[in-house]
Amino acid sequence: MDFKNFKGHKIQILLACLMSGLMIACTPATDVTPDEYVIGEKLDRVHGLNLASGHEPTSVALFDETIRKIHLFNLQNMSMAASFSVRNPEAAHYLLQHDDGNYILDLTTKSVALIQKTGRQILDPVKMVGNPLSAAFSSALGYAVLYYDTRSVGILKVSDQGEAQSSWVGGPLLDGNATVACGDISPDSRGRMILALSEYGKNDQIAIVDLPSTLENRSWVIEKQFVLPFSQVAWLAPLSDPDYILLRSQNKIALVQLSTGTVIDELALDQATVEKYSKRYSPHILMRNFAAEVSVDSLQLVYVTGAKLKVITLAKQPRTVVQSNLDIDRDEWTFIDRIGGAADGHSNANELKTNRTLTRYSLSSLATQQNFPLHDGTQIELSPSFLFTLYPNELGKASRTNILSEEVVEIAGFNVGWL
Amino acid sequence: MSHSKKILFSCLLVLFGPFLHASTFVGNGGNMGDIELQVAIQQIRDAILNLPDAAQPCQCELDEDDHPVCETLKSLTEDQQKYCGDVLQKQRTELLELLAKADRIQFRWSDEDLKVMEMGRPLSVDALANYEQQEILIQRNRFLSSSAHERIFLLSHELLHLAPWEGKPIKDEQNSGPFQEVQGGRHLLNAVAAQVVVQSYRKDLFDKYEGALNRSQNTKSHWLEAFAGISHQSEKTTSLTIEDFQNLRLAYRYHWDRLGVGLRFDTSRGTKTLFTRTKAEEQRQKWGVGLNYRIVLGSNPLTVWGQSHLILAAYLEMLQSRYKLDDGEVELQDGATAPGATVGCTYYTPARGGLWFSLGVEYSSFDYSYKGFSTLRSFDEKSRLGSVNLGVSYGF
Repeated sequence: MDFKNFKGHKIQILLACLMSGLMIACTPATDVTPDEYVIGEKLDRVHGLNLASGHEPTSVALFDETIRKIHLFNLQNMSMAASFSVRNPEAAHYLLQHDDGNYILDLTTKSVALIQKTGRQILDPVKMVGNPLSAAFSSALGYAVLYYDTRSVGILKVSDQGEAQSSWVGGPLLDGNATVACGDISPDSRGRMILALSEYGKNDQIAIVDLPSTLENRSWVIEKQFVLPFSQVAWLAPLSDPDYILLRSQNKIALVQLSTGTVIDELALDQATVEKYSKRYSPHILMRNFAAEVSVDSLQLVYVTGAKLKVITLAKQPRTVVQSNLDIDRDEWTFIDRIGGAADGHSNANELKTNRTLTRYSLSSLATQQNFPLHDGTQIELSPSFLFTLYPNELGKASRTNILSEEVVEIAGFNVGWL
Repeated sequence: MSHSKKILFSCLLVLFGPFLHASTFVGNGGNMGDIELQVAIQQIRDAILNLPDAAQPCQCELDEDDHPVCETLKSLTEDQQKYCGDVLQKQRTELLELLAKADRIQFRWSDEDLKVMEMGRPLSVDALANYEQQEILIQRNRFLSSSAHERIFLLSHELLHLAPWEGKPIKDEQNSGPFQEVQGGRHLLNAVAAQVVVQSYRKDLFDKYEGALNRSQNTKSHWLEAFAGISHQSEKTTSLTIEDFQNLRLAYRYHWDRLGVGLRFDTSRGTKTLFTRTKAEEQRQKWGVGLNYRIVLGSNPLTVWGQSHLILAAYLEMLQSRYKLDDGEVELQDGATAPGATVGCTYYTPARGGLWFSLGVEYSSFDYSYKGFSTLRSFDEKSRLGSVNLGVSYGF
């Protein structure tokens, strides 16, 4: 070191520090959001209604937070079909339901129960090796995958009538040194799970797991595996075309073709933060972009169409989106936003129950088809056509609102049966 | 008559026997006018008992001069006054015996006009004495409409007819001593009776029995009643069961003697909180018909205890209830109808002017269901309520 020029170095060092500080301050935060590094969706993001696009549910199950029971409503004639007591009623309960309402998977952060519509309950149908962190579910295939906070993965096969047929718990280490980062069940009919694997010092991999064989062999059976050209895949979503997945790595959103193992399209995320990941019904990502060419408060919708990533910018959308349903086939984008989000900026529609508004756009034109506020304090579920609302009334009150016509059918008093 | 008919007839006789004979016995407190009669008899007895040992001439003293009975005494000559006093003194023991022994004399009520033939013409009278049968027949309405001193005057006069004087009864149409006119007997007995009234005044006997006369009497036939009370059910049969109610009752009773029939209407309301903030309210209305049985607690009807009584009641009732649930936004209602029964016992204590105060306990039983609240279940209530009621009644 040239001590003669030390004073000048000091100024340079100071300037360098100042510049670094400014750069850090201006760079969007890249903290891990609650939706990342999980299989399926985090428990507080799972939805009772999890149908594929184009299907209208006939029933909906909700955990009534007022009287701490599970209600199964018939959506067609708006009536109470059944109501169930739960284990640990004081805990938060998250539900996954069979498309025809034959059974409900009741999840808490401590336990799992399989509740058949007859009321019979199978407690912990899959071994509890930790606290469930997230869950992936395919009603059509009867597979539920639990991801524990210990990073183990529990796989459960359920019959159409709600009988637990087999289960197995595997560790996160699938192949060599690669461990599970995130994943979800593929919508194809073969019972496959797509996992992103990460390994220290290497690019991430995609592994396609054969669920039936894995359950049968009680060890991971990998049908196909390939290496991605990047690392830190935090979130992935299989598309309705089972040959594609949408994923987000450290600084990219990418569309990947499974059959070829190649990245078809990608989008840099250098100056953007993700506001919402959504897998319903067409997987998509909502982000805020801080690039100079994007106006302040713009919301960007990223989705896949024609094997390409597409970005739509909605200017001046300062409200936080807490639930987003994109249905490309029906040309509908429905979301619920609110003024202010949760502390982590990633709340869901049933977490903060005030100042929420439902908006539906035509995806192709962004023409507003509907926009109305939601009742404060209510639990909601969205189907393609209906908003189901459960009010915080002790005696019980629920309504089904046609999103386009706003026609409301209401029932009340169903909790009296629990008096 | 078949065996079963004999049994039925016997039961009816036991049940209604008291009413069939009630009007033929007088003075036991069970008939209208009995209290007034007993008070008058008691006042006559007390007046005679308190006579001076030596005979006193029949006359009013200064402070009694304005009294109507003094008119009778003022018209007496000095001999008649003395003779009147002697008769009263000498008949004193006989009169007391007549009044003391129940088998010596019988009082009978008549609700018909009483007439006697006097000097060939019918004469309307308030009472009649029959010496041979030792009986006094009293026209009830006129007796009750008379003042207290008029009753003493009337009864004393008739009693003197039943007490032999010089071996035979004194008749109205005879002369006696210095009472030499055609109706000298009547004049004499009126003078003696007036002296008994004067003696009653001297001994404050009217004030003494004023309370007994004004006290409400349990012999009334018609009773209008109002009650307020609380009910409690200790055992919950459903989660909707409300344990505590406030009650109001309006009732009418008709009594012959001990037995009576009644009609009553009850309304009650109970509330409680379900879950944490749901208000539950049940309103119940009952119509009931039933039987009442009266038990008089004391033997002397001139006392409070002698008028106090218990009513044992058994009612068949029809319940109409309405249950409302309200959590602040959702309001639900359902109703139910059911027959049931209530039994109870009420203690009545007399006030004045026909008014009574009462304290009663009851037990009621109703089974009914609320089916309209939930398609998943119905609420089968088994209402077993114990009640305490305070009441005010008017007997007339």
